[in-house]
Amino acid sequence: MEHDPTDPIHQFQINRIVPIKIGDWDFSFTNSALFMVLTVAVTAAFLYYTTRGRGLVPSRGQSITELTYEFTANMLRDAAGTAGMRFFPFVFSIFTFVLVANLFGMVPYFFTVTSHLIVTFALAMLVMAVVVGYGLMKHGLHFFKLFVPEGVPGVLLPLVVLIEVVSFLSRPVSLSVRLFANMLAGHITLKVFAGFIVSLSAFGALGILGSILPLLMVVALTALEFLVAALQAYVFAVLTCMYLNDAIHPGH
Amino acid sequence: MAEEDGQAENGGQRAVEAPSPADRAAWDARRAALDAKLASHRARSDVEAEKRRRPGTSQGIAEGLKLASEFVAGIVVGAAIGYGIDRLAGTMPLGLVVFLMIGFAAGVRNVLRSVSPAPPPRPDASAEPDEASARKEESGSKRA
Repeated sequence: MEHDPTDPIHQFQINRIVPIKIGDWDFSFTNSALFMVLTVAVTAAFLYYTTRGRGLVPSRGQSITELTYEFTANMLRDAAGTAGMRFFPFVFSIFTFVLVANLFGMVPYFFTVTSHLIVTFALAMLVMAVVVGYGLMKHGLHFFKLFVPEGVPGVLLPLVVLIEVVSFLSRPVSLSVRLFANMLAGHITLKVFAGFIVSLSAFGALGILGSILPLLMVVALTALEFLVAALQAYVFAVLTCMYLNDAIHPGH
Repeated sequence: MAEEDGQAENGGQRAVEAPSPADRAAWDARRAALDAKLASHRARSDVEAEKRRRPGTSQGIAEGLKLASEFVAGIVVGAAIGYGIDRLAGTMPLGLVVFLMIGFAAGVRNVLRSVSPAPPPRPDASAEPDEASARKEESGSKRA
């Protein structure tokens, strides 16, 4: 952090903490990896700790866990039906990982894992791999009925199927870019407005007075960013559920 | 389904004590009335849930971003496929032109799909056997 303190991009820099090199590949344990591990560890520890009492009347912590469970379960049931509940552990893991990673990003000096496209793209490809894998396993070649809408005249069919395939292939792109762009843009905006405060207050008393405006903005943006962090995790999970629905019931 | 089975069993047990067709008819009527009540209640709560789902302003921004990214993703993927085909086949502008247009159509399709109200995830007729088969599969794997 001895870098220019108002540089808005610096917060996304990846640093090697434990350099590991296998052959020509770099497997270093970076700050990004550290925060992924922290995200998983904190989530798992919280869930275990709060449900350890197994109270019939839940404590406050247990209520949080139970509400998260119910919320995710309802989301999955709404989108994919009861048959989709077999994917509950998958969806719950993805939802809590993205949510906690986003919220971790709001802590000062913490690294935002989801502000890197490769992380969100890996998550999206994991979802797609599960959708395609399960769809092929369960329905075999019937899974490809997903690309053939009903009631299309035979002449148009090749074109329509091509469009549907491209549309399907664009899902992981939109899924990952949306989460990544929201987190990246939000954190840059926060940093830029915070930088205004620093540079304005260098101009003496008038500057300090003027820096109140960006300060108010930063406070408002922080609230907005918390909202975005939760909302994007929700959107990611909902879309995961909808794609899983395609794998469970193709040909709708 | 499970509830009905349970009720039928109950009816069977009581029938051993006091088998009476009149009782049975009364139970059936009562069950039908309860079913109707339950159905109307469910419909009402569905409507309420739908009302609650109406987006506010901040959700409007999120919705807009979502649609924009869906649209752009279609075009980007189309262009990427076209470019890849051109690189492999050496037909430089042709594949890009064709697949850019297909990508545009796919983007529009994405947007239309995400705005149109989602079809009910499982119309009861088609989902019931699906669920039953899923349950059978599960119990089968447990036995195995």
